[in-house]
Amino acid sequence: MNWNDWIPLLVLMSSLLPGLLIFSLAEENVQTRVMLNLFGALAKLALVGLMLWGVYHGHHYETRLPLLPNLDLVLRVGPLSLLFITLSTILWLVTTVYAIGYLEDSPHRSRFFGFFSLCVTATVGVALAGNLISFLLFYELLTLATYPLIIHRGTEEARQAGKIYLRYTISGGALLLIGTVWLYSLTGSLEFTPKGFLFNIGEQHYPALIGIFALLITGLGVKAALVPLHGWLPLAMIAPAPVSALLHAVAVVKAGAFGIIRVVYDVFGVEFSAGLGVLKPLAWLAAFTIIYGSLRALFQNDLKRRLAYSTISQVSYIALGVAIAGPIATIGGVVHLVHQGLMKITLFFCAGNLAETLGIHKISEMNGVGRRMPWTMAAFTIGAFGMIGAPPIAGFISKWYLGLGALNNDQNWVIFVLAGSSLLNAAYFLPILHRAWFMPLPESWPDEHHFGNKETAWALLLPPLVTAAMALAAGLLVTLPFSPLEWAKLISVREFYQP
Amino acid sequence: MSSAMNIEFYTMTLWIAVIWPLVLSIPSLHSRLPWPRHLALLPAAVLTVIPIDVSIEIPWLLYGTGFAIDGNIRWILGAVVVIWFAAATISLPAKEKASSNYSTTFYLLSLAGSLGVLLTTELVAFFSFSTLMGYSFYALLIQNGNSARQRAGRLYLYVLIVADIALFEALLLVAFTTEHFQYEMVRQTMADISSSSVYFYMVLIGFFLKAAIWPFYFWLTAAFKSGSRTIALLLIAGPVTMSLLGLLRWLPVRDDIYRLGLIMQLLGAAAILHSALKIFTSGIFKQGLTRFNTTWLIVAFTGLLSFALGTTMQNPTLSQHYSYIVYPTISAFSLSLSLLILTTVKIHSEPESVENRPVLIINTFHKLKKWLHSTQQLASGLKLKTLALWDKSGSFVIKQYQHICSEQKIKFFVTDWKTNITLFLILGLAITWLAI
Repeated sequence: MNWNDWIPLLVLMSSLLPGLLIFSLAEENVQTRVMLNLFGALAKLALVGLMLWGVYHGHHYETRLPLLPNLDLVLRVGPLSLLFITLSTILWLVTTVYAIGYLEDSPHRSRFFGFFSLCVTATVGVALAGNLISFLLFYELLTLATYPLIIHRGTEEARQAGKIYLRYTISGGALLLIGTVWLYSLTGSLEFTPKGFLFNIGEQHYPALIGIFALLITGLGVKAALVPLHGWLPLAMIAPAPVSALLHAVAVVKAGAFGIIRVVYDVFGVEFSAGLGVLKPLAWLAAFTIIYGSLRALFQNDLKRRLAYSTISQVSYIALGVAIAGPIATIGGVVHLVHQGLMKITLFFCAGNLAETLGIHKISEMNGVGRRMPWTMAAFTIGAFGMIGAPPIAGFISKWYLGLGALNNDQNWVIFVLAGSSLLNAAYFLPILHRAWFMPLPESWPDEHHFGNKETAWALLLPPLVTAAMALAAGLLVTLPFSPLEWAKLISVREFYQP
Repeated sequence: MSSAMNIEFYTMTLWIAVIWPLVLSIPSLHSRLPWPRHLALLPAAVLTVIPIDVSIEIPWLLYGTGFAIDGNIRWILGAVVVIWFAAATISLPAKEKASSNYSTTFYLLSLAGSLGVLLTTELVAFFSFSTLMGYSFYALLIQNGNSARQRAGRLYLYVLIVADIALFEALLLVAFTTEHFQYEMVRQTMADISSSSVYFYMVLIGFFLKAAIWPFYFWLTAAFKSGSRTIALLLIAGPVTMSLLGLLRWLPVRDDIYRLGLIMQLLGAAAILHSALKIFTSGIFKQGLTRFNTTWLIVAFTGLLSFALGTTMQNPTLSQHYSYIVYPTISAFSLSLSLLILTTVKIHSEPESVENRPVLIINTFHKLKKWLHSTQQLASGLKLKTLALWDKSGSFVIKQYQHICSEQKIKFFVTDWKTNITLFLILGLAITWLAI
């Protein structure tokens, strides 16, 4: 094994080892815990930077370790996995800073940050997985690592939400396992391959393949919160804000969406999937989820629940982009993996700030909050407009490529879905902004904390500002070589459409 | 300065004209500056006197964008600068108030959006800046407003969302057809394809809604009725003028769209008739010009433009012969209506009324004189002869103005609507004549 073969493993270890060390730290050992967290996040960032440069210049990174007879644990770096890893690494760093500020005086911080690191390790593993069995391992690890984070507060409500989360995700994992085993028994391979590895299979197996596809997508659809498998997500909002931010932007829902991309492109192959006729139902399901999520969001008064339903809607853009099955829609779907992450994490950070600083949890309590916390609400405004698809914020780019991809593939109905979704997004985000900026200030806030002459603590304020700026830059500077869009174009060309 | 340096300076000004108001919109920055709303206009004002056409390419947005100014745009830019300057002057906020900081933020964002729309060279940037302008204008419209203003704001917001969705669909159709988004390229390309009709209708819906062209004038009447004088001015300089510009830049040119041209003609004619009926039945001869009548003047003008565009679509040779007149006409329309609003229209719901406006104007003269005096002191301190000379000549002009605009005379000037409507017509005619 040469140096390049170790790098994927090192990327995993950069969060796993600090996480394991943090578990052993005493609660009052704040400085060491902070150092370990930041060291792990920065080390991972450096390694990812190195891989970005390498992959852009055609280098190949792969770690292969024996797992089962004829089945290895494969960690492989390609443009798609790198896009996801870069997103999770950058947002992990930002979320760590946020979580340090958010949980400043909370109990069980070592436990929290330990599982937090494990959660990121599992997410990176999902991204790096080079075959379906490796993917499955990390996918399940992610379930187990996020459960303690969801029930972190220890309340009855949190435990209940955790139980439901486990029920959903373990059932989804079981379906994924059945699909994987069935596929292996049929083909003898689980290796992710550009354009898939099923094109040589005989026509007599097509019904079985449709069944396998349904099992895999249903298993993944639980975490991707495709309707009707989304029930756990609004309940999981009971978790602390950094966890919600990570769940919605990077870890759980994204793992599901990323899995759908992998299955369609690297297991079945996009052309083969289209031939099987499985992409159209996936597109319809994604479209239904987009509209359903937005409609449900419209009627939520709890801010985090509204954001949760918004996630259900927005993550399905990724599945829709994949299901439209063309190079341009692929760009739209893949780039939304990053864009949705940037925008949604901003919104959750802001929701956390409002809760921590003023005790605001409900939208009806947000009157005039823009005047009390202008920077937080400015970041929220950017995130919200991005979700609506207003230019030049990142969401506009995603919708642009999805719409264009739909036109190119003669699926004009998608345009109506996008327009309807934009309309609904505006309907549930703009009233929040209206309240925050234009309604009179209340006499008092539900539970106000003062931070000197600042609107809130720096550790809470800086992360949403950074991610909002990134969401803006991702939309404005799209032609730069390392922008998410350029990377998505590279993925579209290298992984899916190169001869 | 050498010619190359001049061009460099002009190009920089072009870019700064849009970015500067955006930068100034940060509350912690503009709250520390005197007269930020005026300061934000400086680069744009410089642009209006730049003697040559300049352009700049920027690798931003989807396909790269750019800014440019030519003779046509200079007309509208001039009008926009004047109107925004007037709006900034009559809406001078109390510096210490936090709410005025936010109002200034939205004001400057809206200005940046308008300037971006005006100076950009392609559709995606036009759409982006138009969105920025629209939502910031919504904020201006409803801020600190009563229920009528809130209602007007809501109406405007609905219009904005629907219009933006229509324009987004139009943009997708362009992207589906070509990767070139420069106005002329799009107008030519979209004229040659089969989906041109869908594109045409999307553009029509988008800009008819945004420019309040008949039958989508309802939000304009509500906004005009409830808004302050500043809002009335900015409505003209912002959403209406910029959307008319959008219509000119986005609509495809082709010679076989008789039916579509006819639709525009019909809508235009209906707008003119409806407006005329409204104006003459509203008691204009008894009450003078009210904001109600002024709204209908806008509807009439936008209808006229729609009619003219429809005519040129039916007969493209007309478009070639008379295209040069369009920009100065829009410019003249904006300026004249603004003058009308500033001098005649009775506005009751804002702090400064017709009665105390002369005092305000005279106070402004005092402030200006004080400022000139301080610059003279600075100039003598720094031994700068030019500045001192400038102050002397400035003081002389102000003295003359103060003499002419004694309080009584101003009162007469601002309340006599016949004088002002004559001025309005003369100014409009003069600008159009100058353009020709």
